Amino acid sequence: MNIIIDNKTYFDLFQLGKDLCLKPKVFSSQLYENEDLKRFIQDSDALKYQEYLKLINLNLDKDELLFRLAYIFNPYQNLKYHTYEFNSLTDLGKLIIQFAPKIDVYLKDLLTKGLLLHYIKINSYQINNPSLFKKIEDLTKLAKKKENLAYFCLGFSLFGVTNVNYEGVIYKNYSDFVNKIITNGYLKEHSDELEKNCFLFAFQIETYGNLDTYKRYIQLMRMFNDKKRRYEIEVTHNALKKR
Amino acid sequence: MTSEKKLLLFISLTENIGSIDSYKLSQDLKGTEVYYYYEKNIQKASKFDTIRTKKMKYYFDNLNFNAKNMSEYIKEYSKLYFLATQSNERYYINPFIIKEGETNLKSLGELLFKFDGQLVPFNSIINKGNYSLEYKKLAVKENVKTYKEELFDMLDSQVKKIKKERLVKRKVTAKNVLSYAEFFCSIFFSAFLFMLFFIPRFYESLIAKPFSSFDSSIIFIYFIGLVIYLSLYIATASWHNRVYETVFYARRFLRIRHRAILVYLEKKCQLLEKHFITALENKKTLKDDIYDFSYYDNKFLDFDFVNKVINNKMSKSYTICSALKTIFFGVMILLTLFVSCYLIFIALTKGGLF
Repeated sequence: MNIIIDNKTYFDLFQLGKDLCLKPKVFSSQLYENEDLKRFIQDSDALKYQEYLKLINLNLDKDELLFRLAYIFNPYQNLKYHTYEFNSLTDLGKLIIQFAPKIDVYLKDLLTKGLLLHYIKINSYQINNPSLFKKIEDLTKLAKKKENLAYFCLGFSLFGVTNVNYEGVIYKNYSDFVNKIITNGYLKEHSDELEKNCFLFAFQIETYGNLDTYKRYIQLMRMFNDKKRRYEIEVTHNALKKR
Repeated sequence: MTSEKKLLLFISLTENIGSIDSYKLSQDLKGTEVYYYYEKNIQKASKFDTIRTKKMKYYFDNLNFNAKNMSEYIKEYSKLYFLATQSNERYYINPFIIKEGETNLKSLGELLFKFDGQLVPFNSIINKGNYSLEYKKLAVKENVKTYKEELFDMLDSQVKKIKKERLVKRKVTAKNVLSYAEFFCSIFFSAFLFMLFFIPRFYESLIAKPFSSFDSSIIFIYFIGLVIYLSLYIATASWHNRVYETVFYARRFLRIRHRAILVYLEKKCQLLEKHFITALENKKTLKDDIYDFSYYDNKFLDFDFVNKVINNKMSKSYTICSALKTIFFGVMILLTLFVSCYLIFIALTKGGLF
């Protein structure tokens, strides 16, 4: 029993599972349209076929579907998603930081869609590495409210906070980074971007290991924005009255 | 606030950044639109001398823009927004202490009431569904009580000022001593001229043609100087009394009608409370009634005007006249000294005046 897809022969689901995430363009349509593939899955493992059907009916995004299926067919493989393959989670963190200030939407999906959490659950991280498991679990929750912040926090927590490469420049640590971006004018020119992508915030949070400073900052900004908003309402109200 | 400042705030919470000049940033707050708006409102509010406006003025005068770090800068900026919001006339106008044209508000319903821990316009309380009528009436009572306290506080301070103002100047102060000295000097100058008549050589000069001799010139100049000085003295004294007549009148009025004023104002407070409660009971929003409860009535005094007089808001002409009077006072002192020296000279050289 085998099946040929994209000039490659697959003899079992284990093998098939390895390639699902690496060839999304090929498999995304095949899974829905190829009747032979469906029969192959059913014949290979009836239970896994039932899980496949459940996932199909959930109308998931195609990358997410491929990911979940891949780990149903082959739960022991490395982390893979949308053509990316990582030998370790550290590599994932390194790539996140390397891409900065840009945010890769597929790497972000791993966090926001709970796929990374799903992966570490399958690999029993809650037993083997409970602190990292807790960290990723917390970041997955954070990603529901603050995607970018959670994304870079993930990058720093997996890669580390020293010798960080940012736009081709290596920074020893957080202090080094902030002092240089202030003195060389980078902060002034790119402040909007830095604020939006939350790279700076994530760097500080992972360096100090807590959210205290960030929470204090949010509190101050909330107070300021609240006062400013009330003032603007008052001014608008007066302007309307004068008319 | 720009993204740059926000990020500098964040960084400054854990890192020591010497390059940020928080002091300059906070000084720059004086150039912002919000500060300008706040300043304008305070200037307008200063016309009302009530407890709330005095507090507002105090907060404005004590604004310190001297942040030592970004955290303090944000707090100062937030405080500025907060104070500016609360400087609008809805927050401080007292329906009793207001004259025609002094506000842009049209109705008492626009005034902000303390209600359930918030400040809300009275008109919006009328239709609030989750509160009982009794609760709303209680809020009305509390707020009218605030207006009443301000009214009586203002009256009290003005009455104290009028009673304190010693316009007849019975108290001995440096200013009083000078004015007494001036008064006696005026008498002395006149008496001095009168005395010159009894010295034969000056008596002859008096009836001689002016400037026909040295003695006749001195007498003539002294005489003219004295006439100008006395005229200015009488003019400024009369002017002063005329301007202060309002204050004299206020004091006499108060002695006679003090109790009547208090009764009248108490009644006005009750009418205002009734006005608000009626609106609540009938669920009818208030319109175009902002001046209906002003205590400025032709029957009574305008203490505001008395206040202005006491604060010495005299006219420019009076000030000029008063300055000229002071100058001529100096001139008369010099002339008197000169003539005295001349008399002594004559006495010593000619062996006597007579």
